[in-house]
Amino acid sequence: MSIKFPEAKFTINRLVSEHKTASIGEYISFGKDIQSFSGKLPPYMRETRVAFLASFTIQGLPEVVAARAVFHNIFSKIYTAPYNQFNQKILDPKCDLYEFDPKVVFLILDAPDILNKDHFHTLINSLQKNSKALIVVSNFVEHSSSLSRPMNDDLKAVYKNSSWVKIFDFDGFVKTHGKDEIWYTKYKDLGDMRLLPQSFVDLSEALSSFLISQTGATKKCLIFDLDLTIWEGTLSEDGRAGLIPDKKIQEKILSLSKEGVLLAVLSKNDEESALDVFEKHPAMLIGKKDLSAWRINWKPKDQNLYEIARELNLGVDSFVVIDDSPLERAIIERRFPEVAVMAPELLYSYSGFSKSNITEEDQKRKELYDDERKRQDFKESFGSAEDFLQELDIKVEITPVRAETIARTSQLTQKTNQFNMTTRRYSEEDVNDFVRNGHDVITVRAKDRFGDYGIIGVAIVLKEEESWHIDLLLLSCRILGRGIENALIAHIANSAKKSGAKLLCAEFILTSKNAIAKNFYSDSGFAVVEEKNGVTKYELALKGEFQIPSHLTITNDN
Amino acid sequence: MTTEEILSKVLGIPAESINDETGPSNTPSWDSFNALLLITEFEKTFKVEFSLDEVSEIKKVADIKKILEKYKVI
Repeated sequence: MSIKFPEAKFTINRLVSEHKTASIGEYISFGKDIQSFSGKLPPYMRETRVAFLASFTIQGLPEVVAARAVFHNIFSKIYTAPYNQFNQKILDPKCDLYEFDPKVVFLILDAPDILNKDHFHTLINSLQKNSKALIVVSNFVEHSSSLSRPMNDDLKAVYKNSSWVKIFDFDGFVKTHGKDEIWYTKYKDLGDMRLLPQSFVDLSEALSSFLISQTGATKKCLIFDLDLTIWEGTLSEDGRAGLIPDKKIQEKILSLSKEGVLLAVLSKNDEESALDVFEKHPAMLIGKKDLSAWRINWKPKDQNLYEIARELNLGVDSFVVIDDSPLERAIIERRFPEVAVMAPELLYSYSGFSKSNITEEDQKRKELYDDERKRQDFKESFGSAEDFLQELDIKVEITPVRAETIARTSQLTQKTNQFNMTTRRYSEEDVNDFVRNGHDVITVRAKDRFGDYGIIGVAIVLKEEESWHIDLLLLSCRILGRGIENALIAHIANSAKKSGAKLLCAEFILTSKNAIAKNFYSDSGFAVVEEKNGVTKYELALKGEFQIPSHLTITNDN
Repeated sequence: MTTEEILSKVLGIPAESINDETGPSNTPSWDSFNALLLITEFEKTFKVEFSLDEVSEIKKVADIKKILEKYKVI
């Protein structure tokens, strides 16, 4: 679907107004469509680039953030680090993360995935060193680990006054939304989905505040309706004495006013009697003196809004309107898609007024970064991706399939879609047949300081005298980026050479999901011999010995 | 929202194209993530809780309907 403006604004406005009932699936597909937008943006849309790095599955969240950002007049290109590769990506200055040149980086980690406090400080430092982005670090959910709280205290102590590293209170978010409802639910063990997708919309609104302050899309003026918006009852029917001012929303409006947001009234009412309510109703919290402008008459609201903009000398794109009437909201929205128009109850979680606190002084961020580093008292335990991998102490076991691992082997061929060179699906019976016919079915097991991952890789190699042929090679995506695939191909090549083969053949079959593995054979030194219909055939002349990455400890018992 | 509407929105396919036989094997967008998303959307919309066994048995739309019928919500 191709995205157009202002239709895209209408779509997101509808999703925002549907609030609790909006389909998360629709949010995600809208966020994806937005990514492919390539036309000219209307002048009220600001642009940014946002990277997401998380230690658990956040699939869908970046798209929802991109969708929600459109509501705030922000077009955001997104980058999402592959699952469980945040360490490698952050520590490698030459990786696609930094090529993407993010303006905002969201780092969302869960305490059990962190070695110690030096670990996350090292990551934050590397992000600061290698990008110019605003770095938003989510604090640790306390429920996950007893280490969360001390690490959160440390985060606060180090970055409290930082302009370029911001802490997002993720723990607070999870608590407010009900830990049992959204965090570590029964879905945790399915695809490592620790955070329930139904919380993505609210989370996106909260995270939007950082995009708003970074792009300067900050709203300046709140325009509110009167009847059924800041008080219960209708002035023309119930009279002044019959109105019950809504204390909660008036307090919220006044707190925004204290932060510098201008207030204005937009209401279909009699001006004099409406203003009298502000001055004379004993339970009113907002007074006439708090108002910068008002249009209280029977003219169409879009026209009145335009007049308020002229009077205050502000662009309408800096306006927020709250009104209980969907019809009035639609009238304003159709005329001015750049205005944030909402039902009153959405004001409480609305992020549009978020201000940037980055001053000119902060722009000299290099010095700032150095200072910050001096203040922090920690040793950089691993300065590079290689150091980090070394630190992980990864042990890899490459062995022939056994009776007790056949089921898992078959299951991996059925389920693995991404790092899978040929995506051939084999039943347990098929796997048995390969073994019976004298071919190699190899399984890969890995563990590191975080735990034992079990069997995470399979290769099936058909052996002939002169040449060996890799029928299937796959690795679970949870373990990618650690050099295990290189160890596996080295193992196969070295075994082939040892048994006298001259040639190792392989093929790659492109699917909609395995692009990540596309260059694996070329990168491993194979030559392309044929390429057609999405199938690439490779050959490798077996000469020298293949090197195993030095950070891996390999065991095999052939 | 109806069952078809939920499926259509999550999978990004027209509601008319969905029938009882629609499933991961004939719908490219029905991947493991969207499968979970579907379940969580059904749970929210119909205010039911699927057990993990039920979730793992879903192979096509008919299976989802069977579970919803069991909970007497459709």
